[in-house]
Amino acid sequence: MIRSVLRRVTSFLASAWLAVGTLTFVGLWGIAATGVPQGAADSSAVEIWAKAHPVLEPVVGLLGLHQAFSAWLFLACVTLLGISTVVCSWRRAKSAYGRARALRTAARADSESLVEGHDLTVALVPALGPSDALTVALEVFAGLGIRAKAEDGVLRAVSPWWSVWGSAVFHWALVALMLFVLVGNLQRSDGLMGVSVGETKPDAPASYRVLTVGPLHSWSSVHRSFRVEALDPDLVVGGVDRGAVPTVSVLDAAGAVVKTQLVYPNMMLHVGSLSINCPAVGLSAEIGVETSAGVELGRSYESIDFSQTATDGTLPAGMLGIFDQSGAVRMRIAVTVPLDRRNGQFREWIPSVPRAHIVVYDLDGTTMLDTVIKPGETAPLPDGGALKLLGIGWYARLSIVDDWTTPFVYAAMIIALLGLSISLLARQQLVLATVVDGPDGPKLVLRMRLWRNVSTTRAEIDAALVAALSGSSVVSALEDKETRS
Amino acid sequence: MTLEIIFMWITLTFYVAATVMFVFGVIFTKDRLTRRAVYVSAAGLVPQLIAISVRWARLGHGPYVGYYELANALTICTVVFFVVAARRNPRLNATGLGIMPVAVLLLGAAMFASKADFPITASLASYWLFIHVAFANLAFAAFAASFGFAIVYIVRQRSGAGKWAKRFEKMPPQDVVDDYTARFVLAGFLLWGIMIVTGAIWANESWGRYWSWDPIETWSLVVWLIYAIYLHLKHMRKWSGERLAWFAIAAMPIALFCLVGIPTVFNTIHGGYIGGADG
Repeated sequence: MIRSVLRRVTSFLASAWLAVGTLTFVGLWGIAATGVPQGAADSSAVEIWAKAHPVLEPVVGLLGLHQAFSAWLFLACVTLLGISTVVCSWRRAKSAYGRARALRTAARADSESLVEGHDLTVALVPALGPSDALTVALEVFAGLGIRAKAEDGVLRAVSPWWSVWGSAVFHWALVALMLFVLVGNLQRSDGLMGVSVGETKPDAPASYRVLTVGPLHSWSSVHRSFRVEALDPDLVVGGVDRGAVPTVSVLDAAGAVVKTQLVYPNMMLHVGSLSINCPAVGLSAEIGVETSAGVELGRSYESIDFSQTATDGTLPAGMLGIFDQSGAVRMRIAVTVPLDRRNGQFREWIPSVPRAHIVVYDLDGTTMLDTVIKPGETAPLPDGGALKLLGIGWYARLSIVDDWTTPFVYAAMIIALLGLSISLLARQQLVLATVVDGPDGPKLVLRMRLWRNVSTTRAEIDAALVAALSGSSVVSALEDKETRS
Repeated sequence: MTLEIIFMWITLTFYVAATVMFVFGVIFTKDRLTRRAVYVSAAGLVPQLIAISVRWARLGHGPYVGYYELANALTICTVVFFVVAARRNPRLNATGLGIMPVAVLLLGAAMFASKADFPITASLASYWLFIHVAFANLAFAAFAASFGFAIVYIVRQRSGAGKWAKRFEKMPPQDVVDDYTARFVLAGFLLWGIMIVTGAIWANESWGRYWSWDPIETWSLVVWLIYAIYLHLKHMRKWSGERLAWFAIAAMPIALFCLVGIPTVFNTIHGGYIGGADG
């Protein structure tokens, strides 16, 4: 009973219709997902779309199409596809194993074993000798695109053992790919970190502006930091303008530099499982917080992003918090840099006269101070103390991904393609033939397995051999030969 | 009008002429005309390669950026695939009836599209560009070839023993045409797969992630899945003949839309290759 149920379940999971169904669903889901904006429900693109499509939005929202590739329906379907692929891979591997064994056996088969295990017989014209018959058969095979060799009275066209493994390898590699992608999503960390030139930041959640972490990611084993050594705002390498390019260092727990390099598109910094990219740069204001007496309490680098629509041409990447003695925030400070204008556009560069626009808000969002200061100048805070602008420079927005599965994902993809190539290109066939004498006269016995990428069919081989070896045309050809001799 | 554009118009003229010759050659069962149409198709490659070489020398990069260049590369691969197949097996000449109109449409649209000189941007400046684009072009050419074979198959099948069956009687038997369709689908499936894998590796090097469900990535996967369904139906469900031919006919325009339509319809980080902006 249990075995019967298990067999039915396995049969269902291995069925072509399940594979076709799940592939179709994933394809249609992908198409639908590109038709609606992707993002959280409160993201502006999703909100705008929802307002514009009031009829569709409930359905789209219910299905989770705004976050299509993490929606439960999609994940359930991909899981089913994955399980189906495992079952198919297992079946294909079993089939390939059997075929590979048959090919190995066929490669060393002799006449006797062939006679015992043949599956086709072609009666020969009695006057045709064994070697003539084999020569004719060889020509017939060649005419049908089968390259056979004659060895010890046996014609042999046997594919190598690995030729039958292509499809199994392809499917197993797909399974491995899905697993590595899954593990990668569970353990990876992926975030954006703003680091100013000269600044060093530890690789810790608090350093990131945006961070996505898999549930299995562990910060306890991460002991490193990142430093931006320099930033060339307009680097040209190999005749191509690479834009603003930072020099980034990765430091170990002791602060020693592990690796330093320029980071720009197609030139990422890789250290072990870590990949660092720099998708954008902006300006940075170094701010010192002082007491009323001018004693410095601390320093902070404030990241500032370029924005052509903002009043100053820049927007603060974050707010600087000023805390009281109990550790509670007492005010927030937004720092921007007024940019120079050129041809009606803000010039995304350090302005000719560097200044910082400082706006201080209380916890209710009320403006307490709005002032512009130059490097070296201070802005007094409303309830004591002051902010000092120490300098304006650049910051690099680093995209930092920690994922050890990436090389394994690549390997799985490459192995899948190799398997697919073998499956596409390698001929999978087994053709053995020999001549034996029987009570009914001499005959050609054959063992044939034409599995994939073959040039002909079993029926075609049968018909061609019968026509060449036992037909009336053979008799007349032999008679002509005898007459001539 | 520059030398490059003049040569490109000459190319288009050759391809249009070849298409017309295929149409008349097949309709009036003039084998010689069909055979010559293959030569005319091949001849069209000469001015096209000259034009592309001139552009390459001037810009310092191959046909990778912008619809004009992309369509040229796709057309070259498609016509080369067809001419090589037809030269190896002259019985396939008549499939030009299905393949050359694709080349004419692609190149014709390119002639009316922007021919602006797009530079190679920082995101595109990588040896992966050549590899990734080359496999995209080759995959499309294979799908276009399967499309041509499938059209011939359908026309003959629908005709039964009628006029159209006679017009294509020099072609290999229907089961062989069916087999050719499947072989080109399988070749395209492999090449498209390589395109996706090289694209993923390149994306990781350029943008820091190998897959981000960008519209182009999603649609590339969709096309691959569509052809995977074709192969499952053929090899596991033993589908063949007309149903599968219709499938191949329907799938190719989706592959074309993925390559040239998606970047123009959707906001994508891949937009740079069609619009010239930094992708």
